[in-house]
Amino acid sequence: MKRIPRNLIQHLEWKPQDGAFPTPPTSPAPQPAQTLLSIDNLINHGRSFYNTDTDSDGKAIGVTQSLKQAMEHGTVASLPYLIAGKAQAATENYLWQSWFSASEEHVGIDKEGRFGTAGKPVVVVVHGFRLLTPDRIMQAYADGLTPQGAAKLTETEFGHLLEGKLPSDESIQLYTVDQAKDNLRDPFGNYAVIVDFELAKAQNGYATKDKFLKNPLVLARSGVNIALSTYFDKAKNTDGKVGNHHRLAEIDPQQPQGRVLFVYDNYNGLIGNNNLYINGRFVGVAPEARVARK
Amino acid sequence: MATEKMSDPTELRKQFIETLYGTLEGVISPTPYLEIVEGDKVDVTFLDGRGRLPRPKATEITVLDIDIASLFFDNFNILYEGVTGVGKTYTSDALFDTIFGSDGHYTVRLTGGILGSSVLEPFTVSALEHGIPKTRIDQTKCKRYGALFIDEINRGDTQEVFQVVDGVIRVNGDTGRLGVPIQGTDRYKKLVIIAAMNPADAQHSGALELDLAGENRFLKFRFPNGVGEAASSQLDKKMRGSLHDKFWTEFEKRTGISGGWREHYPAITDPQQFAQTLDGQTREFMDVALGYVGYDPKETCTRNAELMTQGGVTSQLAVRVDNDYKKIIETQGTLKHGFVRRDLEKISNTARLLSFIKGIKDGTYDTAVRLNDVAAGIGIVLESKTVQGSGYGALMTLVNAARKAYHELREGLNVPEEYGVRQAIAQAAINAGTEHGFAAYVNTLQRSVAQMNTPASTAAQAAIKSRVLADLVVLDHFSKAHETDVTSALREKDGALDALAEVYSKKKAKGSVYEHRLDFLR
Repeated sequence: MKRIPRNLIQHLEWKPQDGAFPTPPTSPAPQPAQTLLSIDNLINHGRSFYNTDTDSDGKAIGVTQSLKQAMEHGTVASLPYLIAGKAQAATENYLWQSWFSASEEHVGIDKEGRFGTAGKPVVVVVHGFRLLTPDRIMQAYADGLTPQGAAKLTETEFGHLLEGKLPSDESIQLYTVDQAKDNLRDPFGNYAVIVDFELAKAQNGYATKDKFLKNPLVLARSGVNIALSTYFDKAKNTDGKVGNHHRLAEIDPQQPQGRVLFVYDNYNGLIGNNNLYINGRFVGVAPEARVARK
Repeated sequence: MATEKMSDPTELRKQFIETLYGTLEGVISPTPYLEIVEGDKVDVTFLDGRGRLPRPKATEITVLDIDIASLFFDNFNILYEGVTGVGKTYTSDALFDTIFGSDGHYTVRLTGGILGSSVLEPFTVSALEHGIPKTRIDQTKCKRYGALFIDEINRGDTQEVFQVVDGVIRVNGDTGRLGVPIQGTDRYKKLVIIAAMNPADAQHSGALELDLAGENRFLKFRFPNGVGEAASSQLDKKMRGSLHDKFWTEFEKRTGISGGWREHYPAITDPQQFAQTLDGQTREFMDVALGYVGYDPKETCTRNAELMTQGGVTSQLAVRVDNDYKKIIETQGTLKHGFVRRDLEKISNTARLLSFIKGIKDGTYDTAVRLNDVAAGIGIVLESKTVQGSGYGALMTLVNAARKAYHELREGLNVPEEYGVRQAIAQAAINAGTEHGFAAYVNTLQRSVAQMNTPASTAAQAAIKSRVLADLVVLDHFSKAHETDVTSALREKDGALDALAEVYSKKKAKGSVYEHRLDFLR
């Protein structure tokens, strides 16, 4: 086969930042070990960036600086990636020694009924690519947060998100939970999972394993992670429960809004109820650590 | 006169051809056969003797162009089908006389029957042995002629015709090899054969269809009747004096090379001088277009969808049964025989011939075969397989539709010129795989499949896209089936392309579908 100069066909290459794409399954569902971002690299080479900067009013804005530093370092570990890492890592590993900032979660109205009834609110969990970039979070601070401490998004921003478009002009694939179960090719890549607002709102706080693993918001936040069961077993408290927290019952979904998600180092589990004025601890995985399965 | 002997093969070829045209200018009236218009879209039109006003990007190809170009190819021969009196014999005779002189070529008219003439006649001698007449091969005659014109070839003994065409004859236990030695080599320049036949229709009730095996040995062209068009201008076109002497004298003047045709013609026309490999784009077009123009596109889509399903992908491509579809099937119904393996070779050969002619016409003498040459080649080969009296040029419409659909597919993916879509995607996958591993390799393939697997608006798009998609799904399957080997190949970095080709070469025997569908990996 005659060699084609790479620059002529680079646009056809799939890259880790391209994330998942919609395609009928052509092979058995991928195992974490098959993904481009290997769990071993996260465990052994991932680096956390803790930041406690404050603004002139003394409010914590470390989440922006931490995110910026992690992005500069390499790929920012998403919540599904961290969960898979925690499932595999020993409890002595850094992944179990602290909490981490990770993916982002947005709420707004699906005006056109792209994913259900038109006019109904939905929750969109975004992994990988970011709508809440450091600059956008700073802008959110300037605009004023929602009463529950989330960034106010514009109607256009949220509308574009539902169309799979990000302000950076990058596109992102949206899945329902069921679609993600069937079609997700790279659980640690860039994609979004959408959940009906009412369904997501229904369960809050600590849950038994059975309920936790079936909770649609947990599944969206974890990227329908097959390591979720192992993670649960490692994180659970003495009552056999792990938390999944949100403030969906308190918010006004008519105001499009977004916040950063966190994962705790214990049974507190998945956190989606923090104010955006907060310290940050994102994990970055350096490019040289991105290796394929061995 | 040239002061030094010219030795550059391309320049010699150029001078040889230019001298030929110059010599024959006053002898043969051009009979337009085909016009190829190129650009973003290709348009190939059979002219049937009626030339068009020259226009930009258009190349008119005449019968003489085909005859001259055919001298440079040893792996096929030309067969003209046309009514009596349109100039089939005259054109070839004038050309052969010019190059070989009256003694260097032979015309045999086959008449059929037990006492009929034999195509072996120019190469044999009859003598009495023990009082019994016996035919023997004359080895001297086997090397005497540069060209043979076989008229009414469909009336001859098929087996004898095949022997002559294949270049080795056997008579009464003797074997003779036809051709002229190429000086300085141990090879032979093959005997050039141009054959002719009347159409086997009601007006020519004595004529027979040449059987399939016979037609497969020739590139068949319908000889256009240009008489009505050329009219009185043809009256002045006559063979005057010795064209042969005039030609070789002029050639010597231009090149400084003297001597007879036996010394120079075999080397100048030796096809080994010029490479004519088909690029990836061109080869791929052959693969994908035939599923639309040569076969029922609906069946093509169904077959490709089956393969995709086996690979876990549901095809979104379908052909609607509407008037357009019915017209396609009706047009294909004019084909006498289905496509056979040799047709692919004929398409390739026709494309080579056309590219050679275009190189002459534009003065570049470039012999590279391009996509439009293959498009025209498919059309010509299809037309040669039609039943007499069927719509002339209708199949070419299908080829043009295929060309358009293929162009759109390439444009949508921004695939660079010269390379096939499958080739580009496979290499992009390899590049992604060398950097990010096997999963990125597979993701690249699968994302391309996902991008292309969308409903098509025409039957041509559906058939062509389905072939590309199915082949990529087969590659995906092959790669997963041999993941360890493919992963090792990807680790070769710069050598990954060759390493993957090696994996394919070693493993393709695991399934015939791999061999049929993944040849582009070679």
